[in-house]
Amino acid sequence: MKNKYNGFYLMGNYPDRETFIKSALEGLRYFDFIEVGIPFSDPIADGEVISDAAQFMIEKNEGFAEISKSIEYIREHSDKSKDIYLMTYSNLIYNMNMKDFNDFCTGVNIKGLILPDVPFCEQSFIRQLNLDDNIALINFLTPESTQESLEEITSEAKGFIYFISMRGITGSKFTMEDETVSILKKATSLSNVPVVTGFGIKSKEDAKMALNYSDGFITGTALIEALKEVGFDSFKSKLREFFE
Amino acid sequence: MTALPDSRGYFGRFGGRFVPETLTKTLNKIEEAYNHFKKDDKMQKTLNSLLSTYAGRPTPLYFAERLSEKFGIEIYLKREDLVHTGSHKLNNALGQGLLAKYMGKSRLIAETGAGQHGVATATVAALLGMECEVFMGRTDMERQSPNVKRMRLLGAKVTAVDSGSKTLKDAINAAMRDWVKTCQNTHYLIGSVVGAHPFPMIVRDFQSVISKEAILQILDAAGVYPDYVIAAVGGGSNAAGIFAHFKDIEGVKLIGVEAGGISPKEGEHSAKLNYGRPGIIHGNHTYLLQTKEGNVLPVHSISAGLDYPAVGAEHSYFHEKGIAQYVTCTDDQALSAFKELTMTEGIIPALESSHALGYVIANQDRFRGKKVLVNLSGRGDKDMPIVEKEFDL
Repeated sequence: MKNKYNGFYLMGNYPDRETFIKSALEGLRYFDFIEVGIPFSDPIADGEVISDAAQFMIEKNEGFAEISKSIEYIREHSDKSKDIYLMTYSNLIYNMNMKDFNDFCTGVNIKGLILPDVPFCEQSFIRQLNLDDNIALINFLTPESTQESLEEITSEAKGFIYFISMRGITGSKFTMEDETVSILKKATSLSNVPVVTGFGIKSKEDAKMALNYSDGFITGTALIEALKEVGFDSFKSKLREFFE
Repeated sequence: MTALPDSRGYFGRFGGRFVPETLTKTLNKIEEAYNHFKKDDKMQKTLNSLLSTYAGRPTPLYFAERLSEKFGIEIYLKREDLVHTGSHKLNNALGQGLLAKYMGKSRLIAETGAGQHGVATATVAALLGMECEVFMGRTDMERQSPNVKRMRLLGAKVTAVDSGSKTLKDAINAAMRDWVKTCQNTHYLIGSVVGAHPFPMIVRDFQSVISKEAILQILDAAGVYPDYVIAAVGGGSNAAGIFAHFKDIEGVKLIGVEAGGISPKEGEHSAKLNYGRPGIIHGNHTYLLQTKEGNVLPVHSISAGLDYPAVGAEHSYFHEKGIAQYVTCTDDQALSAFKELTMTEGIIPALESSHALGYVIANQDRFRGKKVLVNLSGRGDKDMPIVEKEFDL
């Protein structure tokens, strides 16, 4: 039995730097890892809530340069056992000055990159950009994964495996079909790293269902919604809801 | 015909499969089904019969005598504007529609910019009795309203896309988001040589019928191969189609014409091979108009079908290898070519195709005395709302 490994997603510096840092530190009191989103103009794996947050940040002209400073602050002020991942799309990584990017990631101990438009078959392309070997490229499994890809992906995975709960985009309604559960069971038995379920998890009930079959859960859209509509206080109570 | 893409979907360093993991199985299945489809005599017979009896192929190759005389250039037009529904888009839509049916899918989705591909997909859905939803940027819906009505008339659901720039690239994002949810029963009928492998290959193959015909027709009409083969490039499907059989013929120069828009300033054109650099977007590694960080830039063209920030991966490969030359034609040059062809030959071209001709006319000295084959990829009826304003009709 692997230890539980739960994560939460926040868009970097959303809605503003101060609220983001406060929310990240608060979340890391409960969760084992944070995924920090770097806004991209064409986020095809994201639903309206996260896409709108990305658009908001792009219009504010805040990107990786500003967000990386906030991450440095968060690293300094959070428990060292908590992990930080970056979540964005491949074109932003492709355009990075790889030396500076590697230095930054090593400096704040970024565990890995979550790139929803990079499937397993294209990971070598990203590796060839000279990404530091210590930065994991997170693999995905989905309800569409075949036995062959299950075996291949679980044997090579580092950090954790992101199990996408459904055919869909972030923020959709959470469901777990029987067929999906059976793939998930196979994945957890084959994998040496935690298999963590995400996409659509918005409540304690959803999280509980995910935890029944996997090693952790990830929530994102629900938290961004709370931050967008009310602000930090609403975010805080949403956070607590998951762990009460 | 080219041996590329390789087995991983790359044309040299361009191409690939940058999509959510959820879609990789579907892409593999499409590739596999397509390889069977190609060798299935019955399916090929059905496709060829529909291309001739339904779409109206072969399309004529027309020697534009008055235009040629006026500019001192021998201009031949491949009349894709005469294909049923008004553009070359139906060549691919028919092929992929049959392929979708062959794979047992019941629903087609598509993105559209100018609406030509949307109309072609809606038409094929009606023909094959399939459900159809077309995603279209709100801005494009306004400037290409006749096509929106045609799609609805054909029974398709047209969904307005309000995110981002509200144009073609956002329509593709919306279609991708739908497809991740619906891939079990839905085929995403991509309209250009863009997207993840195997789409750039499939769309090119279905469009290559253009040059398969033209190569024989030009020998008949001119007695020799043309000096130049010229086509407009947005995503690049009509260019890919007319380049396919000419690219290995010595002495034939290929020219792709990008939308130069108002100026080479950021946001005022959509000429990615001229002013962009490689990036990863919509499933492939290809030339892209982007910021320093890698966010996609807004683009402009008077023609909604060319208004796209990226280009098919094979064109990026042709560009870097010098297999084809990519140039620009401005909005104004395209508009004057539109008028020229209409008044001189009685053919109203699509604004997209007007870019190909616009480059020839604007650079007439380069082509003087040469034989030039222009792909007239579509007809201009759908552009009436724009042209009415421009020419104060």
